[in-house]
Amino acid sequence: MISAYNKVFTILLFGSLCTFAAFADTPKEDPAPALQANIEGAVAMLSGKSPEQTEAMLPELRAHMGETFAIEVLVQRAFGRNWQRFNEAQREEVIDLLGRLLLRQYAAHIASGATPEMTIRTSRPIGPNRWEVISTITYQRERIEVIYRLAPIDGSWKVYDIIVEGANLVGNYRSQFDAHFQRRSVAELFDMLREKIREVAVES
Amino acid sequence: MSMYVRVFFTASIALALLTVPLKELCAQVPDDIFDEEPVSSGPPLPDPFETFNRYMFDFNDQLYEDLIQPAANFYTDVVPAAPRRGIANFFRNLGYPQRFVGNVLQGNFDGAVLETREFLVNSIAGVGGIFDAAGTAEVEHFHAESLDRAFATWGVGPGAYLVLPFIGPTTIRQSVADGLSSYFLYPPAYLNETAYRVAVGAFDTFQQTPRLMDNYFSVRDGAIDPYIAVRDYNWAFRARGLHDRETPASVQFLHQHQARPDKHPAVGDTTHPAAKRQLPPRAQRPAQRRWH
Repeated sequence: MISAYNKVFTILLFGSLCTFAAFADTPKEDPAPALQANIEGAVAMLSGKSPEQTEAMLPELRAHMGETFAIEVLVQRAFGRNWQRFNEAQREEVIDLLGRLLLRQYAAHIASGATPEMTIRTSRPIGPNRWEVISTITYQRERIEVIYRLAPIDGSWKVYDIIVEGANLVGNYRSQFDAHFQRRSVAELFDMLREKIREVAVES
Repeated sequence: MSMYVRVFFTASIALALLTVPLKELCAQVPDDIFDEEPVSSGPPLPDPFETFNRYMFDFNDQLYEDLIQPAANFYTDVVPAAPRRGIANFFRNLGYPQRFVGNVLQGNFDGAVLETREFLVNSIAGVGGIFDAAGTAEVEHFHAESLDRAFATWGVGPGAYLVLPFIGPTTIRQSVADGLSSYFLYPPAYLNETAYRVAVGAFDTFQQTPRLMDNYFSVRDGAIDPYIAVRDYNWAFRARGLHDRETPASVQFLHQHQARPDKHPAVGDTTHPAAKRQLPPRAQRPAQRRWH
């Protein structure tokens, strides 16, 4: 009986500590300036670079963007319930592959085209631990609304959802993965992702 | 001191001492983040013709890759940016009747007046619309008013997703609206000679292809299932334009580009003072859209 109480107490204590730690980690400051600086930093890294230079810069770019983008969370959310299909090793691999695909595509686009300019239009809390930054990206004479949703992740505000002109990046990939797993396997997905990464690298 | 109080104090001290190490053990991602559904622009678009659509998508994809994109690249390589901008401005100005009628059919008279003002300024001071005298063409009209939007306002559903040869993604409602627009509301349709009508219309479409191809390939290349990626992006993009009804699209657009960014309200941000200034009284605004 005492042992059972101890277990319950330990669980409660651990839960309380985690809650305390989580609240202690919720940053208070407006994340928009850091987000803008991070994106502009990434654009500056890539602008005018050759495909080879861009390719060599990808690990650095990933580390840089990881400061404000929760790539692992974005990937996991993109899979939704399909996340359960992967074992631990596959999860790490799929985060790496999808993260690489997105970064390569982004890098190829920035390196080859005009330099996008970002303007913050609104930055506001949308819940106890959620923040929304509404920005306008001006790119090749077009003005594109990009909404970033952020949450306190690893001690700072990080992006976990991106909406471009009403199209949700996470939701779009989730639809694709749902369709994929209706007919195909995890192994086929990995093959497809590797092939896509090669294609983007070749085309850029 | 009871045992429970001693336990409480011990736990408190332990809490204070262990907080830092425990931060490493605790998940640093809010749990509910994985339960939160991605923000959606509306219900999914029905796709009962998926087999046909996928076939047409593959056909178009090959066409875009082998023919349209090289032609678009040739156009951007041969024609300098300034003339291309003038051509784009001219054709955008020609689209005025579609935007005007789209606004009027939705009861959006503010938007109709603004479109008219822009058209007159560009036509007169901008030499037939070649120059952007009104200063509004720097940014494309992403969600310009149209018959399709008017039909949506009236409660007409999109019907179903369609991929048409050459044209690409559309819906049944949009294809009907675009057909009517291009027949009745597109000025080149009133040219006497069929050959001129076709040539002008074809060139108008062609001059838009560099931008359209760029958008298409950027979505396709990052997709696992390009058909679904293009379908959902296209639908979300259109649906978003239809949902943002608090401020008419043209009013939003004009105000956004004319004033400094920090003076603009976010889309749908009706608490912003500037948004309040832009909005006509609720009674004068079109009824809330019924979607689908």
